[in-house]
Amino acid sequence: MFGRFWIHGVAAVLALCAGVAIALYLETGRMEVPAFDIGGPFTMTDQNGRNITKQDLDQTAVALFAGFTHCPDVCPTTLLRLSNLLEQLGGDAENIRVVLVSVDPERDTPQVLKSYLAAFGGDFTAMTGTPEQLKTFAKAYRLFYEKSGNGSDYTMNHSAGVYLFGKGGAFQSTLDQHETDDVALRKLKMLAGA
Amino acid sequence: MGLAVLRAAAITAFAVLAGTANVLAAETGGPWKLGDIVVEQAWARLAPGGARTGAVYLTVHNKSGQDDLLLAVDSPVAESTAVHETIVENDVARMEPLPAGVNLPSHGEVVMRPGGMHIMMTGVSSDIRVGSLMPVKMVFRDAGSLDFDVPVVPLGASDPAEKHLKH
Ligand SMILES: [Cu+2]
Repeated sequence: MFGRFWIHGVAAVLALCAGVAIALYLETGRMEVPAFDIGGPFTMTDQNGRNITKQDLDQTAVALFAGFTHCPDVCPTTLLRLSNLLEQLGGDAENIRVVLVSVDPERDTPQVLKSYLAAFGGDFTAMTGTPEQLKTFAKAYRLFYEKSGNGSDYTMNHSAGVYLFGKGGAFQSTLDQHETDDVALRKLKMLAGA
Repeated sequence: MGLAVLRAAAITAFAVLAGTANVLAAETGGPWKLGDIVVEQAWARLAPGGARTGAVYLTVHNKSGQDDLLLAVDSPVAESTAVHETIVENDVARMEPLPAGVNLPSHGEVVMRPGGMHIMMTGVSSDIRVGSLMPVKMVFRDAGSLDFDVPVVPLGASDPAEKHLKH
């Protein structure tokens, strides 16, 4: 597992990148891609049991976040918010793929992820993998996760933000839960059009 | 036929119909009164599949001139029940129990909503599903204890208490 300081630094850099990108957008009317690079080669398994790689993700714009299906509070909240935002976005939403990365490979099999997504109705992607595959993914995409508690009742602490990547895989910005829907929609609209 | 049965039937019918809709509406339970304590806008959701974890959301009003304390929560259908708070710090989300209880200020309220405070349940009986009523007990330091049944709404439903808050 990564050191906490490192991850806090990454969160700060992410927030800064997102802030700079938005400021640039507001000033110049176009989205500058931050020099800070997020993403890298990986192989995971999607909810249908198929392999999914960086090449697959890069086909479209992506809104990606970490979570796990045993989480009754924050994970459904994030997915519902994204689902509602995309509905408000209308036709542009088709250009954005919502991806839930499970940080709980022990319990989240593809079948579990499939039944989880079915409860939300949208056309979303979920991925899981072996602990090693997840480790590789999390390192490349700067996601933090750690187990909390013991026995069968453990939960996972994990990165809370939604990371936005343009078509081709370039990191654009993040969504966080404190911003207004207007700000989030503006970011998603940019993402869909990029 | 009792009111609770009717309500459960309505929620079940709703859950069956709701399968395809993206944004779902659902009903909340309450109010329930215990002296100056009023619990309302209560609803619950369950993680799907074999997870058997759930969260209950509600609002507790304390209409008395004295502070009270929510000492404990319990449910006969769950292996463990506790008040949790979701905390996001440095972009990392985690859940923490509140072992010291929850203060209920006089003439104040405590709101449990998604992404914040919630009643966390693990090992929920498989008899409880969408459309069921989830029995919950709250124990207050001064007011005593209150039992009530909270409707379980579909996982994909938007916060059913939201429409009451957005006047
Ligand atoms: Cu919790």
